[in-house]
Amino acid sequence: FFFAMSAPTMMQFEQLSCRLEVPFWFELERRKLHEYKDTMFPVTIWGSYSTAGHQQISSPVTVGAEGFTAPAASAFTFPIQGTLLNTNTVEELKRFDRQRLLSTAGADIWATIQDGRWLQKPGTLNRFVLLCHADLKQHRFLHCTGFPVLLPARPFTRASQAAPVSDTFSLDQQNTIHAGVGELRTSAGPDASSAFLVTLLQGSATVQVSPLSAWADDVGREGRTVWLGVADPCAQPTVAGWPVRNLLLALAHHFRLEGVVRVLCYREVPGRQDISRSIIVDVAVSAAEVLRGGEFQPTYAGWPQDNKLRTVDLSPLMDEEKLSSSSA
Amino acid sequence: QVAEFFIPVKTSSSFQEKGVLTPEEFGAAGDLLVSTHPSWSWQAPTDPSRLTPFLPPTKQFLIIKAVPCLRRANALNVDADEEAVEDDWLDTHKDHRAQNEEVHEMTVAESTVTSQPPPPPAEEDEDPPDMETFDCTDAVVADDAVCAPRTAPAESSAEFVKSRTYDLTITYDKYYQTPRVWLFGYSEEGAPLNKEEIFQDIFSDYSNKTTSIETHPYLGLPCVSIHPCRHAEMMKRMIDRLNERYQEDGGADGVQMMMRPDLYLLVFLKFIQAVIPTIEYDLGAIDL
Repeated sequence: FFFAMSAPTMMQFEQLSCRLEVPFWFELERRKLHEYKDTMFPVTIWGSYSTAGHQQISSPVTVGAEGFTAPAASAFTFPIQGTLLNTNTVEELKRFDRQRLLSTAGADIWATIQDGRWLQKPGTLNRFVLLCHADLKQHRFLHCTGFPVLLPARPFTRASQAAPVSDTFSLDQQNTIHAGVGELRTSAGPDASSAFLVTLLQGSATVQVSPLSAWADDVGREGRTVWLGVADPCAQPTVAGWPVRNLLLALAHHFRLEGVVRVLCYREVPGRQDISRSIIVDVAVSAAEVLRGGEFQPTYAGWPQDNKLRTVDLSPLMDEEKLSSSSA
Repeated sequence: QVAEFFIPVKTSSSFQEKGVLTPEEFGAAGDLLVSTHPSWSWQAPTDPSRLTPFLPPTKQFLIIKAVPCLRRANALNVDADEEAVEDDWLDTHKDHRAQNEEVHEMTVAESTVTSQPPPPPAEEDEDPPDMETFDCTDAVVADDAVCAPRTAPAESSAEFVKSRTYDLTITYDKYYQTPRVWLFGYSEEGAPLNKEEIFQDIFSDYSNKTTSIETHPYLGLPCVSIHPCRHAEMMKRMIDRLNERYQEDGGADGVQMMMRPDLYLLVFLKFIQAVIPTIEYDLGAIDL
């Protein structure tokens, strides 16, 4: 009756979403008009996300007008680098080679895995691409955002059900983890603290937080249990967020892992000493199954699975602006 | 409007007497809000010509971004007692009405609000007919590990849902010497909300009387603003009530104690929550 054994369940992840603020679109209009004009080239932009602070609503990647100049430095947010490609016509947008745009960003991520930069700055594993067309006359924008993810040749599988953090860590321990992550953020910066390690010493209740780069020292040592902590914008109680994916792949590939990684999806309510919404899930990974036989880099995915374009129409806002300034 | 340019900036406190703030007190209250509720932060306008000279250049206004708003406030059931309080708080036209008229109108308001059916859940799968699409899907790599979004109604499920989100800002209103709240909202799909849609998230039918759409003094965008003309009066009443309660609770050994002005915004936001009850900004464990 061997066939009665259940097949391992594939890990599923919630895709990130983008919240493009109105001042961002106005700044794009300005730049298109005065700087980019008719040339079309990729532009580096920045967004930021926070861990899920709401019970039901996952945190989006927010991109504001300042996204053109610098990574956001506000408290509780993690910067994410993006690539903007603004086409001159709607037709160009609709025909655009989306996969190439995504793969270019994905290859950058792969490069940070290859040269080990990701261990110091796990934030470099997160990227986004924004493909859009700005109609300057009508103040109308068509766009689509993607979040490049490196697909392992064989998908990660779940080695345990996702469970609330309280099943593993006491309230005291949660507070220690919270404080440790805060200290790491202060000392190493948000780019370096979007992923970290939580270590439990056997036979004691002592937990400690260390940077991701301590993996080689901590994992596999006698008397230690280690979790991969990931700042998680996803709010679903049984699902891990998008940033977990590239991290698992990087860990598996870099450290030649064959086995189970304990993942702590770290969800801090911003400004509260509260990580109780965090979840823990064990994931089976295999270094041997990251790359397909004969290939030197993984496949990149991360566009929405449909072919829809979102529309933002700012013309009503312009009309209101005219009305309210004329009546003043 | 011109009058605003000629009113002297308050420097000595009228907090206890009138429920108003000086710019310095606004700064202190903002600092306390940011330190106790760090999802709020101070901001400065990107356009230097919008700077207010009597406020510190880096602390011009307060902002909290992407606050979830799952339900429409104008579809909520109304508690009669609560509404009586809010009537005082919100109704800018109160002075122009006779007392009995007011009572009458309140009753009417109650029944209209409760009879409003909840909005039907959004049909996620039906695209608007004019939805633009890419010419082909060939370029998209299949990814089985994406968890499908769920669109269950917010009340019945803890699953993944999409939500409207708001950016709230608080500015200092020089004319009324009180904080002033501005709303800018985005739909579930990330498009800016129009005035009518934002009014759905403002409590009952008061939205028309107490809110207006104006260009934000620092952001330069048209925003919905809650008019501050009765803020001071309401805050004064609240300060008195808190002072009394403190005395009733035993006070502090004969020493006369007063509510600290830097608590202003925490109290204020508690009241603003009554105006925009479904916009879930964090008030933490404040108990008033």
